[in-house]
Formats: sequence, structure tokens, C-alpha cells
Amino acid sequence: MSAAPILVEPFEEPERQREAMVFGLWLFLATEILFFGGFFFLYAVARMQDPDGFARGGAHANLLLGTINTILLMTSSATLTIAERAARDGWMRAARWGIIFTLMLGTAFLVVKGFEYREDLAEHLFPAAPDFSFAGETGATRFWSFYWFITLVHAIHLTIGLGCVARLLWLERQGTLARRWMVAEVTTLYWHLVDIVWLLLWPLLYLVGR
Amino acid sequence: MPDDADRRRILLAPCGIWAALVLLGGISLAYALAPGLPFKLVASLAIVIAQGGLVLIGFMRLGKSSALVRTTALAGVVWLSFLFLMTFADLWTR
Repeated sequence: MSAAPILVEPFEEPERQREAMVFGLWLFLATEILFFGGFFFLYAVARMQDPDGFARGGAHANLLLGTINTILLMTSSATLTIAERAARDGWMRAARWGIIFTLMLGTAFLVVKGFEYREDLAEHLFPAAPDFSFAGETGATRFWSFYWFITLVHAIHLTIGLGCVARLLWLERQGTLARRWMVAEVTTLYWHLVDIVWLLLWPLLYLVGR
Repeated sequence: MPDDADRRRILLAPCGIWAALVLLGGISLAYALAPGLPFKLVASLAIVIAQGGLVLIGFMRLGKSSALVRTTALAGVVWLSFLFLMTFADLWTR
């Protein structure tokens, strides 16, 4: 049973406030789909022009760390969903632990990504470096340019998501999360989109060339 | 505070979707690593679409959202598909 939500101006009914919040967030997510879609479009055109070069470049991506990160993000989506639904039903203990696990999993993702970046740099896989492993190879260079750019953009989105999830923990500590479960709902929607983007990146970056 | 049945629902439904996501990821990985199989890109993208559908329907509950919300979500995908369709129609017919 949901606790009576805290209403904000100009809403007088919880359902209208919820509809407005979810609609507004989806409007934002639609722009995010177009934002990331543009980069996937670049990937598709570049790969079509030199599929073998993309395969050569992609074969050097760290499959193990990429796969670990995929599992971490999928798991974080499940824990945050549990947290959101528990908060809505007033089960605050489960909500708290769901949020904490999500924060831990999201942070672990960034740490693993950091280790992966370090390995990539050690293997000279940064296209702007003078000792780039694929210097002069157009397809592989485009692949690694895409890799660095899109994974950094994704990591920024994930960091913003971590800030939003941390705010949920703060609301829980303040004792207001049960009445502000709509905030948890829209935060969860954003987190899931970041997860979907990664689910698409995983085969495009780590399975290409295998 | 929810009763035991509600607690199970809160915990088990997301865990079921998570298991399906991991299973699909495993299939995608196995297909990509198996030597000599055709259409690897198509197979992995088809699996991603299934995974995305699971997240949209199971986690984001898009199917239970209002028509306004569903239309908004669809709009992003539709406009993006125009970008892909027009460009590839040009590239593939040159």
C-alpha cells in the first residue's frame, strides 16, 4: 500500500502528479534516445564502410571486463527496481538495501571501466596517442575513436545516475522516501535507459571481431 | 508495510527479469564466440532488442503506462529510425 505522496504545486491529485513526472522523464529519455542514436548511426555508417577494420580493432577490446560490467549493470537495474517498488509499498528496509546495492554496483562498474581504460592505454589503443597500435588503419581507428567517446559519454550518464540514486538514499535517511516514491520511479527510469544503452554497446564494442 | 505475498512479488519479479537478461546475454556471447557461425551481428542485435524489450516492459513498465507516455517513448525511436532509413536507403542504392 503506497503512502500518501507529497504533492507539489500545481498538482492537487497524486495521479496527475505522477503522470506529469513520468511523462516529463520520458520526454527527456526520448531526447536521450536521439542523442545516443546519433552516435550509433555514426558507428553503423563507419562499420559499413570498413567492416574488416572494425573487426580488427574490436578484437582488442577487453571482453572479460566488458562482460563483467554488463552483468553489473543488469544486476543494478534489478536492485533499483526492487528498491523503487519497495519504497512505493512502504517496505523501507528493502528500499534502503536496494539503493545501497545499486550504488555499489554502479560504482563497481566505473572502477572496472577505469581498470579497462588503464589496460587499453597500456596496449596503445588510444587513437590520439603517437604510438597508437592501429595508426594508418581507418576502420580500426574509427572503432577506437567511437569506443573512447561513447564509453566516456556513457560513464558520465552513469555518474549522473549515481548522484540521483544517492539522492534517493538521502531521502530515505530523511524519512521522506515512502511519500516521495515518484522520485524513485523517475530515477529508476533514467537508470534503466543508461542500462539499455550499455546492453547495446556490449555487442557493438566487445563482440565485434570475435 | 506489504504482506508476504507482496514482498515476494517485489523481490521475485525483478529477479526473474534479471535472470532472463543474463541468459540472453549468455546466448549472445556463446554465439559470438562460436567459430564459423553466420549473421553474428544480426543475431547479437536481435538479442539486444529482446533484452531492451524486457527492460522496457518488465523494469520500466512501459506496457502499463498511459498512451501519452508510450507515444512519447515511441517518438524517439520513430524519429531515429527515419535517420537510419533515409541514410541507408541512400548508401545502399548508390
